[in-house]
Amino acid sequence: MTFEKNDDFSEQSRRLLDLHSEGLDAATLSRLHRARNKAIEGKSSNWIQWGFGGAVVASLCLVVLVFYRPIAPLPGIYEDPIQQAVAEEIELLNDLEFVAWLIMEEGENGEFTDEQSST
Amino acid sequence: MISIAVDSHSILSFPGITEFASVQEKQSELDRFLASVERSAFRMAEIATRNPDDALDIVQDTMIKLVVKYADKPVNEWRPLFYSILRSRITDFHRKKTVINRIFFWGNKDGEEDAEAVDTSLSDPVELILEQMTLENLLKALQALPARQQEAFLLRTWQGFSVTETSKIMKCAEGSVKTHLYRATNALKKAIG
Repeated sequence: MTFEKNDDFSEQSRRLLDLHSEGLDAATLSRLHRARNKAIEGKSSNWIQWGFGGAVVASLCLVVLVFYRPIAPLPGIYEDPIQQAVAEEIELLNDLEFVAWLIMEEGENGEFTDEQSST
Repeated sequence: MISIAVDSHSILSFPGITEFASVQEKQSELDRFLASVERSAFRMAEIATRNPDDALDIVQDTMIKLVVKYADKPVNEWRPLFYSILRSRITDFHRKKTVINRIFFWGNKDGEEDAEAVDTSLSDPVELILEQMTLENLLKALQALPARQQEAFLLRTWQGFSVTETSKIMKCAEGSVKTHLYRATNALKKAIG
């Protein structure tokens, strides 16, 4: 077969296939139309999902920034018990010194005179 | 960006009118493009699958993938991309069908028999081919072709893609496209003639 006839064959094939495509029935065309709309709506909903997703994340960040208050740790709960005991003993020692000082002061000011006089 | 869909062709967008216009324009372009290729895509899928329902599913998947993945590509790249996706979907369909046929081992005899029929129905005078060529026997002969020859013929001869474009769509060398096309054309002539 010559190139010319080859071209004729291709041309005729193309023509027949074009006619075949143009001759789609209404039901198939309608289904294709729906498929096309679904594809494009899918893109829209994608954009919407990303849009709303972004908005939700932004809102949450804003809420966190506005209402965030750093919570102070509860005193003593997480401290080392040995350290805590040592600290308490030091406090007690301070108190003993204070008590001793108080007694001495009271003695010097004569508050024990009644007791001394009664004896 | 926040967008609210009103229908398939209109979108209310915040904050910009410009953004709204560009989204709407892109959607219109996509709609026009898909409308321009949907018929031939459906027929190609139908020839490959021999089933209009399967063909429609394949075309719909192809449209969705193009819109979701490649809508941002330049418009002049959409057509080869669309047919590349379509070809992949058809190949996937054949793979699934082959697996199913192997599982239910009554097998894939139809295609093989048809392919043999094409190869064995030989040479009437060449001049009679064009006279005897009808849509019905062209379709029958096309359906009987091996998948790669069918793709090469439909993309190159019907859709008018260049050899380079066809090779990219088919993911093979240009030489392979020429070989597939040559064999397809010869097989079709023999089958029709």
